[in-house]
Amino acid sequence: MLLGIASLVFFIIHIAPGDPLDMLINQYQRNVPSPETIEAFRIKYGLDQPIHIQYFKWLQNCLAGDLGESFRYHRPVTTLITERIPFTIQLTFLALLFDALFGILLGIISAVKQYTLTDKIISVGSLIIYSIPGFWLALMLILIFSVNLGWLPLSQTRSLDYDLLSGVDQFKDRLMHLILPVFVLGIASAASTARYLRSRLLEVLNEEFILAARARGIKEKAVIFSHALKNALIPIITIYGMSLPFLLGGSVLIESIFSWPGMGSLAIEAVQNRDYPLILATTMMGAILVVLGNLLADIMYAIVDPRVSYDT
Amino acid sequence: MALIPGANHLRDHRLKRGGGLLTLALLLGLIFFFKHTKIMEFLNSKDIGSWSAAFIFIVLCVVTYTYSFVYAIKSRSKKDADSRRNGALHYAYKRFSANSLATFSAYLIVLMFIVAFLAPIIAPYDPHLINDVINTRYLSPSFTHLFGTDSLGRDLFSRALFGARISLSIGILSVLISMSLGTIYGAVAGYFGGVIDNILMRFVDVIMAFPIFFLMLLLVGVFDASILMLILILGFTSWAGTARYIRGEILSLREREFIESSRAIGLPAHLIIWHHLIPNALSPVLVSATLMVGGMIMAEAGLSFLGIGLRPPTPSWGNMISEGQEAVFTGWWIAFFPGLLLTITILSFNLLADGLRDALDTKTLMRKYV
Repeated sequence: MLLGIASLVFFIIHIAPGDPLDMLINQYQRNVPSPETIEAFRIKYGLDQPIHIQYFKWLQNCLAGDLGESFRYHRPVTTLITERIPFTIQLTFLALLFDALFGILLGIISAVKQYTLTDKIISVGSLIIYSIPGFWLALMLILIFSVNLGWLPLSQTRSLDYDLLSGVDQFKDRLMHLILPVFVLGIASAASTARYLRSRLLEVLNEEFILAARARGIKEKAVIFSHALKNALIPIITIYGMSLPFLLGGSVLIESIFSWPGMGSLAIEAVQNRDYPLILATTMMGAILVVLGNLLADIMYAIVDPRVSYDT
Repeated sequence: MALIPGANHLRDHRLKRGGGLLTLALLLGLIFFFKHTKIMEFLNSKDIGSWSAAFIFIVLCVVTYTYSFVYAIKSRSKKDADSRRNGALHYAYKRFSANSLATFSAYLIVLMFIVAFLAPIIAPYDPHLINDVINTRYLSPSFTHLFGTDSLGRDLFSRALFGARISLSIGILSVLISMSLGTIYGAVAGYFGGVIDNILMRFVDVIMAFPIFFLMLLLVGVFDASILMLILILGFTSWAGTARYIRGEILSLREREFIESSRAIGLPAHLIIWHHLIPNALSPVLVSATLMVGGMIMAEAGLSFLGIGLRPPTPSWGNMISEGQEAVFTGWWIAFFPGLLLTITILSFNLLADGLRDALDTKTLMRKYV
């Protein structure tokens, strides 16, 4: 399946109008390279050959684990990606954690206090948060907390004087830089988790085994946490698996706002420069992460829910 | 009474519709009062954008007045009309209008569409007009410039109005493409089953495995992004979820008796799909389409924000926010207002979808945004 995606992308970018060389030439506006240099470049990256030969060559290298060399950075794509990917994983993982913490908490509160004022505030509030475009929210928060109040740093992953700081301060510095991006990325999905969990929990609370548990005189807290919640949380896992593509998509925007050196900003640069190998590699990495996320969700599902078995 | 639009509705205690009509009539009247020279000018102009704005203005006036006039005449035989209305759609409509938040957002969306279509008439300034940059740039919001001006001294309120036009049309049209594609694709896969289903669904799996925003980014970045191209790309990248949903729905409908009997009387497949299967699976599609309009508007804004979608001289909420990001130290209003409008628009579509879901009584649908 990954191969299918990669092939699709390969043909799309090669069919599309525009030449990567135009972009390169634009870089050297003052001293335009001679036609020979351009020709040499074309031959070096195999752009002079017909598309099907390029395709099979690329496929062959790809299977051998060689994704080619970036047109712009003149470095292997694999190293570029391995440099950037930890930042993206860090961001999305923390955002997921934030999402799980707040989303589940708010979902439980609003389900338990159904139709009270708290419930209404949470429901409407989460719908509003869910409708705010993340990049705008990020910008407004930067405006408030970084520009006007000066509490949090503007962008990047660490301060300029990072190397001069002591160990504890270094950690603190990183943390300060993480707060805004993680918050913005996590809050929208936390809102949707809360909404979803609320409706699931209300459904489960209407089931007969809850009635039975209450009849046996089990405390309300225990009913909710150990009987109802367990059942309501199972589909949430699938939701998390499914939300990964959207989280990655959101991280593209967030990374660009906070100049976060992750996969997202790499992908934008690649698209803007028509850096074919890099475009292919970033989209493939995105797809791989998504497939891995879904796989993980499936495995978790099997662990959490004893009714599911993959033996059959 | 019949001459005041909405007055008869108000008399019959149909407050929402009467109020809506009255507001609309007042709005149209105000626009006419202040801008009638512009409208006349536009009617004679050769520019299709301005001409259509003036034309839509006149059509709106005519429709508003005829509707309330016809209602005023007909309302004498109101009882007959009420006894005839008892279809499923009528009940859905009743449930929907009981939800005041959803009704309000429906009115808001209609209002936004009207304002967006009439943008050339309403806008106080030319959205591209740049003159005397030194004195007119970075003006904070005031009565002369409601939303302030940007780094080139352009009036942000006018730009936001034209941006609304682009955002709304991109949202609606791309969803239309994506929904029709997804519905037909899913229906074909679900109805025929077997090998065809397998092949078609594998393709959907491939598309679903993409982070959709990455795919849009890639396509919009690689092809040159005009408005039409953007609509096509957004439409053609987002139909997979609908296709999968419709397929599931069709699979369960296919086994029902009324389909079996249509097959028994020899109805051809395309007629069964078109007349029996799709209409029965349509109400969740309507809900998710409404949700998706918000998602599409957000995606367009995101792409334009990154500088990959619509590029600057064209006003779009996304690239206005991005211009605001560059000027974040000098003018908060540049990014604030377009984003606020964006949020309100998306929120109204989400609330409308919520209301529709409750009204149409579909199963809980969940969709995350791009």
